[in-house]
Parts: sequence; structure tokens; C-alpha cells
Amino acid sequence: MFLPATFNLGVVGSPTFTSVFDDTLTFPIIQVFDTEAEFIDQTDAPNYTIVHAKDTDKLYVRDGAEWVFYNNNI
Amino acid sequence: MSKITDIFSSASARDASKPASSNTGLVVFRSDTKAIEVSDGTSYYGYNNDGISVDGVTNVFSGSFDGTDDYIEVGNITNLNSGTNFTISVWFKRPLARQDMLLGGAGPIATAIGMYPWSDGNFYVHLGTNGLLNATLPGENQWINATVTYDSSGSSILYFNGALAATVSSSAVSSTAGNTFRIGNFTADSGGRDFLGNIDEVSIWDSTTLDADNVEQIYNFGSPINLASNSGNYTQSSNLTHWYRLGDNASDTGSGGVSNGNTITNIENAANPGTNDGSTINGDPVFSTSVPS
Repeated sequence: MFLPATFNLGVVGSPTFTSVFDDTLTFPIIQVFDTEAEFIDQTDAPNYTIVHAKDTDKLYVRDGAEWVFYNNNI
Repeated sequence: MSKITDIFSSASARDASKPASSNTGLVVFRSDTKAIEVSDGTSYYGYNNDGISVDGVTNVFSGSFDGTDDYIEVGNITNLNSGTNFTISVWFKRPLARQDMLLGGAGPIATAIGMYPWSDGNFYVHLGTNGLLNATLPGENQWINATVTYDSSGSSILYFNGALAATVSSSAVSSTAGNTFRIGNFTADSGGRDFLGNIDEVSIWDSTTLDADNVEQIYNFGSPINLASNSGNYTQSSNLTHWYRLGDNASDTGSGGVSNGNTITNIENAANPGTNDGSTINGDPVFSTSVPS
């Protein structure tokens, strides 16, 4: 009796994937401004407020009476 | 409002409170270095800042000069005579290119100290030479900060808006270069080319050569700062000797008070009140509410 061969093809499903990013950690969402001019002359930002400006692509931290900035280097 | 909540004034304070080994991923701000630092679980790694924008000083008025006979004389700035190290900074705005004398002291012209934008769109500086230090202006009809630094044994440097514009090897200035110092005119020049336009925040460190970081902070992205107080990368407030605010010093006076369009009757040296005040007025310069900002 001929018995057809059987093949265990297994199941090709989604691979098990573990993200390298830990979603239990949180960091504040920072405010993004279209332009630096919208906030650079404002003096009421709480100390150590951190923001981003889209026109300069810089990150800014308020420190007393100053905005300290960090250039985008990418 | 998102804020960084871990602020430390030193590495030791940071490590005592939040050691890197037990704070992997923590983002902190260092108030001493103004760097952002991140712990990788072993050490903190810093991201140095690329500049600082300081809150500008209250600045409501400038001086407006008619280009005909207006200037203010502030007397003899004796430390500029045969000076070895000094810095002069000024904000100005002129409507068009012409032969304008912005400021300067007494002759002889060949070894005088003076600054002037010219009809060819260039800006020239006498620092012991006839305009050898010069550069093309950023433009006309706009506020420009021009700062010159002088080191008699090194270089004379011109900056526009906080950025290097030109540099030459220094030449000796005369023993009278700081005398009868004028705003809106260059005393050593005999051409009668009084300045047309606005002038503000004329400042002199008569024995100090400021470095590029200080000059950049003085410009402060176009917003003049309080020069009597250190902030950001400006560290030379104690060496400021002359500061003419053209209407924003409480002791400045005008005919009918300090108000837009009123004639200037005196401007006080905000860096050293009572000395080298600009009480000698030629013509009728007026206060103006056009200011750099």
C-alpha cells in the first residue's frame, strides 16, 4: 500500500521578538517649539525646563536667567 | 512643563546623592558646567553645552544722531592713551551706507583709536593704524554689534555680532588716543563726518582684552546684556570701565525728560557714575526707542 509521504512543515508564525527598549522607564515629553523666537525672550520658564526648537534643532535648558543650549550634531 | 529634576553643582555632589552605579539612565544637569550628563551604570557621561542665551538687559532707548553735527563727548579715557590692552563694544544702526564716524578719540590720526562704517559698505577700525583692521558689514539699516579687542603685544580683532570678522597684528596707539573721546564722531578725524543713525550700549574695558567667548556673550544673539554683572560666558563685569546706555541709565537726562525724540542733555557712565559722563553735547542728538533686541 502506498502511503503518501507526510511532511511536518511546522508552523511559520511571527518570530518571537523582544524589544531592546524598556517601556517601564519614562522620561518627560518635552515641549517642542516651531521657532526659538517663541520662547527665548520669555523669562517665566521654571528652572531646568527642557525644550526643543524646530528651526534651530537645538535642545535648551533654562538655568536661572539663561537658556543653555545644545546643538544637534547629527 | 518638562523639567530636569536632578541638579548638581559638582561631580562629588552628584556622586554622593545619585551614584552612577545605582542610577543607570539617570539624566542630570550640572549647574557648574552647564552640561547634561547621563549615567550608563558605571560612570556619568557629559554633553557639553554649545552656548548660552542670557536674558537681555532692560533696554528702551538708544541715541539718534542726525549726521550733521550731533555727537557726545565723554572726556579723556586716560587708560586708552598708549593703551596695552582694551576692548570697545558698540551697537549701531545706520539707514544707509555713507561716510560715518561712529566713535573715537583724539589724534594724531595715524595712531588714534576710532571706529567707523564707510560708504563702501566696510567697517574700519583705527587701532594705531589707519583702518588696517576692517571687514565688510553684515548689512545696512540693521542693528549691528561691533566689538574690537586690542592686545599691544598680540592681535587687534574685530567682531561683528559676536563672530570674528578680521584680525591684524597690533600697532602702538598714541599717548593721546583716549582723549576727548566721542560717540557719534571720531575726534581725530577732521572731515566733519558725524554719524547718521542710532547708537547704543557703548562699552569700554580700558585695560582688558576680552576673549571670543566674552564677545559672543556680549552679542547674546542680538539682545544686549547687563554688562555690570557676569552671566553666561561673560566674565569681565569687574573690568568694565565705561558703559553708556543712551537713555537707560537712571541718571541719563534729556530736555523734557528721557523720552522718544527728546534731546539728550547728559548720559552717565553706568560703569563708574560721575566719571567720564557724556555731558558735552554737540548738536542735538535725541533719545530714540529704536533699540537692538
